[in-house]
Amino acid sequence: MKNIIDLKNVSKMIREPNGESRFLFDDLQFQLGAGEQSVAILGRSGSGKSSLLRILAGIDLSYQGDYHYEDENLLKNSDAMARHRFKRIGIIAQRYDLLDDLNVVRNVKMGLPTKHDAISRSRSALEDVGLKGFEEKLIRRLSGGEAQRVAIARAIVKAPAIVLADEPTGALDEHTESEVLTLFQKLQVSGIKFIIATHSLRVADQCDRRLVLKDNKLVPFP
Amino acid sequence: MELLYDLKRTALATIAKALLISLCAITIYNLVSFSQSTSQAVDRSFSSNAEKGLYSLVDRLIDPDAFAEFRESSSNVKSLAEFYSQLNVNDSIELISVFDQTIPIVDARGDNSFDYGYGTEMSTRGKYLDEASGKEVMNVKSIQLNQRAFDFYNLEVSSGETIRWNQIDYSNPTTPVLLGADYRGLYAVGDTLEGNFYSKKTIFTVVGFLEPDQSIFYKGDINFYLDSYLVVPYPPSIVDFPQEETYFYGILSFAMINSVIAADSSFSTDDVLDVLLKASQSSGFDQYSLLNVPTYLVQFSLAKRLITENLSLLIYIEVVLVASTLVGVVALNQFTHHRRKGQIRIAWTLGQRRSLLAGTTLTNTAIEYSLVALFSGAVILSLPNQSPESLLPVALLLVVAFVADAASQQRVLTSFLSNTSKENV
Repeated sequence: MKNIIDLKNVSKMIREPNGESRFLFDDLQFQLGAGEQSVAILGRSGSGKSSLLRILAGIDLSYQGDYHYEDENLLKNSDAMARHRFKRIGIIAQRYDLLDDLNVVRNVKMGLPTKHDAISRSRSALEDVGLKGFEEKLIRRLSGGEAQRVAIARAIVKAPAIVLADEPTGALDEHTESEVLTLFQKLQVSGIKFIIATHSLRVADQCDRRLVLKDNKLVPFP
Repeated sequence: MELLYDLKRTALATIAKALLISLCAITIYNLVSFSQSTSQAVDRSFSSNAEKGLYSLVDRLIDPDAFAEFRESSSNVKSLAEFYSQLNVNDSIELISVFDQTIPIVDARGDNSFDYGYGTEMSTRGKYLDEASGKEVMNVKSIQLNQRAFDFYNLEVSSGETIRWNQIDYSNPTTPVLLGADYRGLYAVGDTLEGNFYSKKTIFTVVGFLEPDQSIFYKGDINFYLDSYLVVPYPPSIVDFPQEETYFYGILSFAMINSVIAADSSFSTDDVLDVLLKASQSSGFDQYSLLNVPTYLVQFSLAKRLITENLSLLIYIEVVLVASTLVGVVALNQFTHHRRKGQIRIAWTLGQRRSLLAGTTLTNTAIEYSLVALFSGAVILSLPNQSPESLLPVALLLVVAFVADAASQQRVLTSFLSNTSKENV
């Protein structure tokens, strides 16, 4: 079956705080198949989960190897990768990355590449994540769960092919985590694919496939 | 990245930065303007004139009776006139003849600021009825001078025409005069003034106006301003005066001969005395005395030193101000970057291209410097010292500052994005 994403032979060196260099990834391979809706990436802290998401998002270009998207070899060019990201990738950051002094709808609007229909699309995305009526609220007045939903709405507002989520429930209580996971399931049904970096086996269990970063490579989670 | 949102968040810092740079630009403008005007003044007044040795030429007829008796004799006055004429055309020295004899002017226009006593210890009489003529007159301030004095002090005419010195002849029906800048609006070129010049009814024709702030060295005052003065030119020679006007030309010739002699510093006092002796022997007038007037040189020297010291002090202050501005700008840039970085990071993470972010940053810098141009331009245009020559270096400095600042902010952006790519998504 055709792959949506195909990372081939990815190697990356990092420098430790003590000045020593080490491999973070060594000849790592990753594929997201067309039929898969979600993949979980597990691993210890410092194993490289976030770094892998940065590479998939096209933010981190300092690695060796190839990045294919639907068989197109993506150039390691900052602006080209930004275009790829803006067009196809939705991102849910670990710390939400919302602007506290803007209201909800303006934060969501930032996820859109164009201003055309921005407000109505943002309102629609907020409705999808269950935040109808929150449009004018300032981010600083929201709870953690609500803020996370805003981040999700911003990630999906442009109807991306793939959402990259970095520890999406790391700061949430169990009840809110369940709500978010239910939301992810719902969004997957609508056709959006998820690649989720997480510590949580509960989150990973919701995904079609589970991988773990071990010995600088991605291997199936047992 | 939303420009309006960014401007709202950084408005105070942007205005503070624009004001800070504007203040610096305005002070630089003033410094350049000051240094240009002082260097021009130094070039014009000091460099050539301070090289001169100055002497005061006075008559020795101190006793009023002797003075009156001398003036009654037509031949005496003629010898004095001849003495003046010879000195006036002598190339070895410059006879700088200036006198401030007041002139009663009939139906004088203007307020009491043109009165001879105004601004002095004397009382201001203003307009009054002259009993002899039955006309309303005012004793206006007036300076009489010869061409060499006019040239020596670099007096400039702003409108009308300058004096045609060779055509000055008090026997003519009218005498051309210049008016100080304060007379603008009261008289126009071509107007005539009826005056009483040493008891001789004289019609003066206005041929031009002096530039504002024109001054001469007179009576120990290094800046004797002529803005409110009627400037009457002396004729090049009065040797052929009419016999019936001996009284008038007698007084006039004494006024003309009591003058300053400027000679090159290489020209000794003995050389000056030698020139005077020859003129005396040739004309027959020997009632003169020569005094050295170091006051003039001392005052010029002090003034020059004062200007130079002030300029050095101003340059020092300017350097400190520029350095402080730089520190302030760097601090404000850091503050605004701190305010912007969240927005930049999010925009970058969401997929906004680096070139677009760089464009927004450049727009922000352009807005800051547009405000600088607006603030500093408005203030500079309202300053009294308008100087296009000073504006050019300030404008160039601002362009350089803009380019350097924009480059610096682009570098900060690049560095920030580079670090952002290493952070967690």
